[in-house]
Amino acid sequence: MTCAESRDLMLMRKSELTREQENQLRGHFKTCADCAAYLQENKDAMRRMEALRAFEPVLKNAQDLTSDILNAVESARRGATQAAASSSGRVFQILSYRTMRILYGTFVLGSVGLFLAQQLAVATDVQSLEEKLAQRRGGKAGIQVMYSVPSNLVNRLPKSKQILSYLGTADAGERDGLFVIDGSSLSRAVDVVGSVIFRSTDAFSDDVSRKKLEALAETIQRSVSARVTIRSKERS
Amino acid sequence: MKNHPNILSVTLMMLAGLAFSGCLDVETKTTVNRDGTLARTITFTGDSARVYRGDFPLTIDSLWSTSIRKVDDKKFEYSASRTFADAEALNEAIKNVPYKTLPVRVELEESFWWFVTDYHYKETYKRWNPFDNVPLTDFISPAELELAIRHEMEDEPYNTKGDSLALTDAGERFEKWDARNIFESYFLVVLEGVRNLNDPALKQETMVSRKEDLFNAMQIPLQEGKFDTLTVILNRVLKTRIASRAMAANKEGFSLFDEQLDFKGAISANSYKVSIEMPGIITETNAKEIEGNTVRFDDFKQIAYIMDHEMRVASRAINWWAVIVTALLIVFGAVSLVVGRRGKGR
Repeated sequence: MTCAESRDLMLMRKSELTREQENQLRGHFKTCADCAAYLQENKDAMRRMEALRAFEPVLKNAQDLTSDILNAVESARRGATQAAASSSGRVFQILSYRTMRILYGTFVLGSVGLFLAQQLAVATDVQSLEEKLAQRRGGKAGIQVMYSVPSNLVNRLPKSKQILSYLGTADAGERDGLFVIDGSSLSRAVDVVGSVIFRSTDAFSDDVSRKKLEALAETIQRSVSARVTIRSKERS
Repeated sequence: MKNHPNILSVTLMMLAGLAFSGCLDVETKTTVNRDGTLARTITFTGDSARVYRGDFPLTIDSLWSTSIRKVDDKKFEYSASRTFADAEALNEAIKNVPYKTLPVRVELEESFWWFVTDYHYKETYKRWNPFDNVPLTDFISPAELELAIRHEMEDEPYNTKGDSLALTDAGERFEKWDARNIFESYFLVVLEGVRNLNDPALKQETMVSRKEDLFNAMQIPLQEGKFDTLTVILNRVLKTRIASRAMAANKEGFSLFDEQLDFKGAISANSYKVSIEMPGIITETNAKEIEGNTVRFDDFKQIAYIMDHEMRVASRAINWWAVIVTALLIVFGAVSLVVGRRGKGR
């Protein structure tokens, strides 16, 4: 038997061989090492094939495959949605916690309190400033000191705009031959007279006029007398 | 009780009236903006010659926007405006020229308190008396000075006749101090001239020994601002005409002295007003007058003659954006709480 005949017979199943063909093959394997090795290789390959067959995936029910896949996708999608929802849900969950509620309450009260305190501080400062200014103007309730000067002396003062502005304040005025005025306005008016005397070199035609005004200013200062009045607090 | 012209103002008025004419009304208006920038406008009002002459008592450079307008038949107004990024930029722009312009310094502090911002503005007219040889306290006690300043600044009348008389006396001493202060500068300049001249006919020792005689002779003219008579008095007291030559021998010294006198006269002749507009509500100031969010100061040149004069104003402005942000945070928090509670209920 030739090697080619031997390999053709080897492709056939054992049950398909005749006894004579079996004997011829055995005889050939004894004399041909190559064919004997080829036979052994075929046997090994067949064994591996049998082993692989054991791992073959088995679909119990092939028609359920689509629904299985869709279920798996749906399950994965739901998982992702739940994960996303859990982070925002956690915020609400945390705010619901007692500590967080207290913190939130503190923030609200603190903010409102700070705002109110700051506004109150402004109101207090403004009131205090107004009182201070009123005190300076002499408008505060309580004792008010006014000054009186004989009207005829005041009427002889130069009628400059500045002097008239001091003599024309709300509290100033002529009463029973006396000109009554607050201390501050009087002081300012006398300052202005001093200014006229010393500054306005062209205001006087001669020294006599200047000296007359100086004398008038001095007379006014000597004639000033204080008048104390008690003012009641104004109600608003 | 008596009232009398303020002790601080008399000397200045005399100097101003006798030495100069054509005074200016100087008005400075500063607006403090919420962002910390400052807009400043200075107006100088006077007769045309004085306004067009231009040597104003406050520093103004070419970067200011200026204009001149006619107020009435006799008066003209020179106006200069400029906006500054901050107080330092303003200080840089108004830096004084010695013996030419007044030294003024501005400070602005901002304090952020979330809902509000506090603004503290301070404008200081530095002591501008060009003569600084004799301390005022050598002539007037600190208590007298304080009383006089209160009378000046707070319009506080003198409480008793004693106060009034004490201040009348202090007023005379104030005038003496002022005369002495000028005299010391004058004497030093003449002495330097005598030293430079080095003439045996007039020795330094003679000058020093006659110093008090010179002062006694010059006190009244100095108080009355009659500076042109000083040379005559100098020659008369020293009984030599070399005194005039001594003055020529120290031209630089006399030039500076003249400059100082001119400065004193020029500043004294003017009237000054400062108004400051603040953002928000004014909460504190040492001004006498407040209108809305603007404070006004005037009549301060006498005080600034002897000491630095501070004009202060503080204001508080609401930060509405902070109020809105806080309100939104509160609403968001409340909504979150409600939504969170409902979520937990499910």
